[in-house]
Amino acid sequence: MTEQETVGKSQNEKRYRELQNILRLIVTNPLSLAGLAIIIIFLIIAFVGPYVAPYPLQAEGAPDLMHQLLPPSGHFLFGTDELGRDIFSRILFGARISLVTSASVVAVAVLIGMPLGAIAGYYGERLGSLIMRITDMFLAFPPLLLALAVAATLGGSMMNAVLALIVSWWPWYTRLAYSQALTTRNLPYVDAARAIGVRDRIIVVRHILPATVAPILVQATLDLGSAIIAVASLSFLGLGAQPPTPDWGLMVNTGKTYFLQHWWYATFPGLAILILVLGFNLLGDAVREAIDPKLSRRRLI
Amino acid sequence: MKDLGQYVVRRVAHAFIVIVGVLLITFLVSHVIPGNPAALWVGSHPTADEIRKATEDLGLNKPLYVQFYIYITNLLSGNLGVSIRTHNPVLSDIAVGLAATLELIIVAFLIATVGGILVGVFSAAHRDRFPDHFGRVVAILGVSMAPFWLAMILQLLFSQTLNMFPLAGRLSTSVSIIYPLKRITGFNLIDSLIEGNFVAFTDSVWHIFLPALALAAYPFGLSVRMVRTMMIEVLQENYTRSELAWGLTSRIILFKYALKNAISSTVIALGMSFAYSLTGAFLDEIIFVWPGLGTYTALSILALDYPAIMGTVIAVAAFYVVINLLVDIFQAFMDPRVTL
Repeated sequence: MTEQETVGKSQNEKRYRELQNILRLIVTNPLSLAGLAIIIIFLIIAFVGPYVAPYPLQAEGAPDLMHQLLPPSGHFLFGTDELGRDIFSRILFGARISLVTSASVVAVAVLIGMPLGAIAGYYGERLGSLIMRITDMFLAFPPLLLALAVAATLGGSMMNAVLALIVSWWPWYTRLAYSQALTTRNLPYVDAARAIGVRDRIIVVRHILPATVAPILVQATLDLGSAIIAVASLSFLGLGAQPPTPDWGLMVNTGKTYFLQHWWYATFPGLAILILVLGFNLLGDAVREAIDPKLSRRRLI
Repeated sequence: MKDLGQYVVRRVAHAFIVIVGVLLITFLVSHVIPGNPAALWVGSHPTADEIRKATEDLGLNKPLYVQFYIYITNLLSGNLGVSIRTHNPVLSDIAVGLAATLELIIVAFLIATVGGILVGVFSAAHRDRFPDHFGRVVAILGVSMAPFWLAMILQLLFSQTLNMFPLAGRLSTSVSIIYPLKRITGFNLIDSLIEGNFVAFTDSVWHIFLPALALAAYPFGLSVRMVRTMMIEVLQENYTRSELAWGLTSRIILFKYALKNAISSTVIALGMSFAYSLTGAFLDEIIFVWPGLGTYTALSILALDYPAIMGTVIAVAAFYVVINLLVDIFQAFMDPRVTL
């Protein structure tokens, strides 16, 4: 084993221990535990929902004109919509859509943003500042606005909404990877690798990128909550999923015509969004507190 | 002070570059992504003549850099195109909607700021005890709600069921007929005060309350989180400890000394929350039929009114860059270390 690998290994061990600490803080904090429980429940719903939903055909769009806009009851747990479809079943089906779309937005954004940031941070100079300038331009848009423009250009569909959100989402990870790469670039083990003549491209792949993975993965998981709201917002504007998709944002959108007389219509899909996002945010809050060294000291007042 | 001046110049130059970048990106989105840009600009049922005219006007048959030049010169002369739906120049439509949106955002911002600072300080002062947990849960709830859904729930509860607030709109029809408002600033709350029209003023407050509350939830949660974090940091510093040792009451320490040192980050938090309200307002307005940019955009999306959508996006993005610039300068003014 070369000395360089030994140093790299101790780095890995340090990271591993940090991760362990974070995990311990998460399981001892009731709020983050609640968040974790919510996420797990929704994951289970996403997997088994379509099999246990009482009215699977209606969830996929089949109307039942005998039972329009019925209030919640034993038959229809969350009531029915304007086409007589069981809202509860549609929400069960929607969990998968919501999780898959938001996860794809975040995952692809990470895959684009992270390498760009690592390259910008490691090479610095002209290439680095060019990448970061472009990143800044994308970050200059208020949240959701650029996605709105792209989605309006592409036309309303679930796929286009996801694409539009990716376009506006990746710069955040470039930012994060960039700052991480800047601090890693001058660590002794990277210096050592350079000194023995390892090529830059290999250093980026083997040393810089791995160092950016952990913080970005944490951030990406926490961002799932905002991604869910973003996807729902585009659907709400009519730029996302199209009927009869059982998408939560779309259900709230169609529900807005009816909900003043039929309160259950928009309430339950919105509640589903709220609870799932709450799960991610509860977990995120605890993680953020755990990894922020400034907050770990004792208190006075 | 000299540093501050240099900083401002540098920051303004940077903002200028960013605006050019924003225009470049919107250009790429509107001219390069679509299969047939001309068809987008003329709406859903174009005739061949209309498409030809749009192609001509936008220079779509010319090379890209010429198209970009045409695009930029049009924008700089204030020409954002003509709305397909309203047939007005997009810029004048935006000017009408902007005041209503800004009024809503500013009221929401005030609610979020006051609430955020109070709850944040309170949370930090009782760190890890019941009030802190409560404050944090409220803050997290605030950032977890889809703004349009919260708007609907508030409307359902307080307007429809309890009848405490008007359902929608900016001013009651009866009030606008009997006590009409002259358009001075475009802000109903200010215009009615200038004219001494207290009936319209009360009515405006009545109308703005629920939409502003719905819009305030997200920035409120954001500010609580930032203020709390900052306050905890400051409260751990040694000078806070000596103040405590001198026997200053904790309220004076909290609000007079600690908050002052946390102010720079608080300003960042507020700037961020303002940014979020900008697009949050879009979703909020649709529910309350608030006659601002959000409702305008939503109607434009429904009508496939592409010039109106892109015009609003450009205007709001430019506005956002300017707000960020002002926040940065204000922050440098409050905390000279920023200019280093």
